[in-house]
Amino acid sequence: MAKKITIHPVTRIEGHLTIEVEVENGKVKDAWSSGTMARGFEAMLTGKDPRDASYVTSRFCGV
Amino acid sequence: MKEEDILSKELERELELHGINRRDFLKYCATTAAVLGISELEFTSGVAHAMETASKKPPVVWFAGQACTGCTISFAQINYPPASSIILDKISLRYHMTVMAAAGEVAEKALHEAIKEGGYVYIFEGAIPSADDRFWMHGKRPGREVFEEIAKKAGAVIAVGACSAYGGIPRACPTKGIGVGEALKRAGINKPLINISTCPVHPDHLAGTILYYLVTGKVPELDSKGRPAMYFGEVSMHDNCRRRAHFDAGEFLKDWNNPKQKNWCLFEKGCKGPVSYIDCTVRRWNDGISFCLDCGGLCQACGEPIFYDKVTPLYSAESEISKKIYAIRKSSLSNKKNG
Repeated sequence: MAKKITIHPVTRIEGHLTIEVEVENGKVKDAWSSGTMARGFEAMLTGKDPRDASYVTSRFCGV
Repeated sequence: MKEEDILSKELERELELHGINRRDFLKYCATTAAVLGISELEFTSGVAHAMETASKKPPVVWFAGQACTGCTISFAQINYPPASSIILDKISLRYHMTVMAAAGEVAEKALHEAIKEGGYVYIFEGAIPSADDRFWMHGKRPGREVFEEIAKKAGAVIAVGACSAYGGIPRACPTKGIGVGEALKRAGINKPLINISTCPVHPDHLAGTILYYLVTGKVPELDSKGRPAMYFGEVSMHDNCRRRAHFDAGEFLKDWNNPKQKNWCLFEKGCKGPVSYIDCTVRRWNDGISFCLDCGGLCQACGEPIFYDKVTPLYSAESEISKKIYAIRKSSLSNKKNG
């Protein structure tokens, strides 16, 4: 019988991360990672002055 | 153990690359865990006593939505007083995803225990998506729900950074991020709120506000936009700008390559200083070393509610705000001529 381990939140990182691991007989059978927050910077920057991109994309991750 | 050793060496190298002493890093995390009083609390009774003393300090819950954690990093850079001394000695930090040692269920337990107790200072970083809850999920729950759950039991709310105060960059995104003030209003929650805008938050602003709250137990006096009046709202960047004389003389930098223009006013290049009421010119950044205007940059009014959707394009005078500034400039020039 497979056992599912969910780690949420994963701390000491930037952002929101969930890790799910399926373990069967002491071995990892399958695993999933999900970033659970989106802002849509790429879509927002479409049509903007290209010089805005350096300022805005530096706010992807502040760590 | 072997695997762990290999991992540690890798991590050590990684930290070394970034100039961080691994030992200090782990020590910091461990000490924070002790103050958080989470996993250890369940296993060692000794820590329980420590937890008791820690809980007498004002509890703080730091939560993040549509954020980049830049405000956390900005706050961590503060030297006077050191961020670690605020976190360890002055407050009882119950939950902070980026610095807490615990992860998963144990971390969530710490959060739920803090909520049960209530009365904490709630520091929030990042915006809350208003277009669709699924843009920010906290585990299986919409982040907005968790945000509201924490806010309901808070004593006071501090919104740090432009995103959290007024929506900032996420407001311009398809997820339509909103600030804490707006989110609380929509949820019908009434709590004292302090906006400490700018992108990222200025460490002095946040530390000063926290210390003010610790000493007086009150929210500091706020300006019309909900920001501490001791830092915001008084003098515009423009009033203290060293290029100001050139603005008054009508000398505007048009060509970066022209040495004659190098000290001229940057309005034509997209500076929003005249509408930016923040104390950067006197407080400066990075321990008072410099700030945007002193290293050839422009002011983008990151501490104002207009940031970012109304100040774009950043590097030309075609934004909504620049046009307004232009109109003011024109009328002041014509007044001078008439006077």
